[in-house]
Amino acid sequence: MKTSRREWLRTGLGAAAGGAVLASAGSPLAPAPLAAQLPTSRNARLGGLLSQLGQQAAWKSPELRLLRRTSHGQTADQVARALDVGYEAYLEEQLNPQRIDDSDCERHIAATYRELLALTPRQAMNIADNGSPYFQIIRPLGRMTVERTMLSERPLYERMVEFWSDHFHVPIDGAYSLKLFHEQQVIRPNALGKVSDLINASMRSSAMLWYLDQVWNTKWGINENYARELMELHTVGWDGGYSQTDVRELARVLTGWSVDGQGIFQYKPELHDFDAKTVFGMSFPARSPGTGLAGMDEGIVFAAMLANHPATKRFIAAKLLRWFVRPDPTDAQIGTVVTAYTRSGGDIKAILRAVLSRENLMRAPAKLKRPMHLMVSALRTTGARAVPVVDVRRDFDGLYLPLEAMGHRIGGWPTPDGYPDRAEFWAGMIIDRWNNVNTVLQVANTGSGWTIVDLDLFLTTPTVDGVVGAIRTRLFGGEMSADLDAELRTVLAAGVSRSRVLDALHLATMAPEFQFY
Amino acid sequence: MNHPHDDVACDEYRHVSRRRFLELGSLGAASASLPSWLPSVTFAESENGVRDVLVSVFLRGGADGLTLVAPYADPTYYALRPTLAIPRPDSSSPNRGLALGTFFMLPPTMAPLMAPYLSGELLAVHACGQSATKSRSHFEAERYLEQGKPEDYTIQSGWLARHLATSAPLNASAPMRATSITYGMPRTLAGAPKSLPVPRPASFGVTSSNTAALQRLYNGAWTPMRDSAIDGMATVTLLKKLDFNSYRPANGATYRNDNLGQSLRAIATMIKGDIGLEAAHVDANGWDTHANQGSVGGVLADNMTEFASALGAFWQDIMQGPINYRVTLIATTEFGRNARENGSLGTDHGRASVMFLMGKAIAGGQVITQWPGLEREQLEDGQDLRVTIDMRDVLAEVVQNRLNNRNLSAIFPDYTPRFRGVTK
Repeated sequence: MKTSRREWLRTGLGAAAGGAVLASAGSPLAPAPLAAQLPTSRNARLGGLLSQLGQQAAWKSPELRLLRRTSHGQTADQVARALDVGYEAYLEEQLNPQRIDDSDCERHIAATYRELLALTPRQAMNIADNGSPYFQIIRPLGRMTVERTMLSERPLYERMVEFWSDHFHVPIDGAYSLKLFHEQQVIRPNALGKVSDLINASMRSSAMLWYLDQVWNTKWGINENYARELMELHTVGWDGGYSQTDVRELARVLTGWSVDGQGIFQYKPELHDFDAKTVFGMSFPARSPGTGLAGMDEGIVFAAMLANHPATKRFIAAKLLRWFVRPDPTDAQIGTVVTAYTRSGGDIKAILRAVLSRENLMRAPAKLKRPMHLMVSALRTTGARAVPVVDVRRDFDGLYLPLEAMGHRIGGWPTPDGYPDRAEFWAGMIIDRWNNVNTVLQVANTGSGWTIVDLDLFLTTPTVDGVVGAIRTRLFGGEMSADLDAELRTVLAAGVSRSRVLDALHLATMAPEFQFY
Repeated sequence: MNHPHDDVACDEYRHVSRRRFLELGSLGAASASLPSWLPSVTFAESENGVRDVLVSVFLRGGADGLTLVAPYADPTYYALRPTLAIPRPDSSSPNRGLALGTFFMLPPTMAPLMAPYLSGELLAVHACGQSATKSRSHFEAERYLEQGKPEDYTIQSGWLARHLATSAPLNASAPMRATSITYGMPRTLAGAPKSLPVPRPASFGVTSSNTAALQRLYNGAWTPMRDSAIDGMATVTLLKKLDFNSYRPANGATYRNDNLGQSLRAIATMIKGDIGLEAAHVDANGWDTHANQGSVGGVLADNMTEFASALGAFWQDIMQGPINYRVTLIATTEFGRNARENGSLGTDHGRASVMFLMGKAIAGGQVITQWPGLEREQLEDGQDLRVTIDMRDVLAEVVQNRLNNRNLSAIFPDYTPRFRGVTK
């Protein structure tokens, strides 16, 4: 990679040219056996997987179902709040995160990650070239992402940040460590905004343009990598109806969309192909080469078309339904979400109201938590806090390393499609899930970098009934199986002690029902 | 989307074949996601020793077949690759290739493959790819190859998984028939019975002391978590018996301390440990060389070094000499790259690439190909090496002749493979 950027600078593509354009941001339904709700052939087509996932019959409360799906683990305060205001009002609160006071989390993040957050793109690239990106950027950024998710009072917003971060995925290991800016300037400001704003911002993400070789795409030599993924992964989807010719033509449309020497988006008209192009049914006539932003309008017009394309609406609707509701959304469910997309002009909040309807969630089969979700939910529900890392080179980092061990480190997926969201991909990881959830739930007197559970939360009534009751409430919102209840009592049978309470917490977080949400 | 396999077969056929399948499956463990369209199957024979262990190496990203096994005698090669070509074997360049005969050569970084090649146990199949899809998307092409059928987004299981599902276990009591040295299960093995990913075999264990409670809780839990937990705990017990860290490879083989080297070393440990392993998968990442691919000194050269060293060590350890562990290794990639280098000293997504096979019963020491040529009119769409051998031809021959499984229509649906003589 180091050679690569030097090479890029040497060829003159990296030299500043023209005016810089800064990144712009522009009645509850009773749960029914799932198999019974499906035409046999649809279930069969998914290899019988659906009937095996099953409904969690004990999950009766609509508010708790909403909390599970829209958070990385519900906190006691949030359970109380949702039960108090009710399903629709709680959803509305979460859809407007700016109205939720999250200043404790923000203050903590700003103070703890001051150095990381003060970096400029230029400095990040220098670190990638000459520093220790693993210690200076990759680990702190991963840790900050986890800690934010752990502490935030805006859980639905954080779930959407995770969703878009996978959708517009840039690996943390490449792209000259520019992922930090991709997250901070592209994903987070737009996670509950408009789909078109997200697409536009992603097209101006220097991390994305580096990662998918758009910086190499010029009128002298086409590189179609970004053009393909812009359609296949970000908008119309793999079956969106474009051809290989469309990919090459779109690459020509996008020539000139580049990055300056400071690691910031810059349109370079001298790289743009001003000849005639036809892509995906849209014609761009030949014109005289210009300066400034001449030719950039072609990409902007095309992106607007993509954001409003029926295939894009369907692709994003189905993906959001898989994220929040079920692995096999029906045509009717997709249609409802597409209608919301159309009526709102791609407003993500309006889309989510359709996705997260009470009816959808009451029929939703249990979904397997991905490792990051599992770990953060163990930390959120047990009121754990993270001890800052003192020496990044030597100390165990309890917010980062367990995710690496579970194959889900932040931004670590190697291909541009983002981490899979399929149960069958993650189901084989059970041993590592158990071990790592045990590792992160520790008690006091542990060194720097560890996470520490607040056992006192579970000892307000220091009896077997009291501890089991606290686990039922805090970890499961009150909905816990009789089997687990009995096993926890066995663990505590010899008498309630702090170490046995920790054992009980470990067993509860390793239990099958804690793996799902 | 069409769902041809659900729609074409009549209900009765589906019902009968599926029921029969599940009954047979209970010999081992019910598989998590068997395809509903699975035709009636004949179980492969299960006498010990009649099937090879299959080791599957996947070069992710689209490896450049025109560098890995470069056609030095095709003059157009040097015209299309002015800066990226490997110098001819008879040149004086320090970076010159190693001739595999009069037409192809290996790059110098692939030197560790020469010994197995000269022993007749390493085979390259060139201009090989996916004939039934023109997809140049990684995710589609990887998926199509791994599931054994192109252009179908409804299949959830992998071709190797279906081989395992349609053959009785080699060892009926083995808790783990197949493994992947990866975090998470690759599609090649998705839905395989008694299979799980073991990213770090040497430290695979449960830290909790309360495994009895976990056994009880997971016994009633939903599949696939139940299978994962129960088989996982049995596998932990099994792998504990193998001492990965002090494993000593045979014949002086040395595995490099990189991802592929250490993965193949762990697989060798499991094969020699005789734990009933029938298939192992490993990914080698980073072959998507759009820019500055560095065929001689760069990313691609580093990748080739890792690949060739790992395969060379594995051959020495497992295949060299008289001892026969009955192992076949295959190395595939989702597609090749453009014949012509691009404007950024790299290559964009193309079509055909090269496939490697290694084993005592592989017809090695040659490059099997129907070379389509590199002139513009010979290239697909004027830009890519044409696919003249479908990868399923090669895989199916290995499945039938080395894995002793004749259920090719279940493993590679809707395809009639043509054997190319890749096995002895």
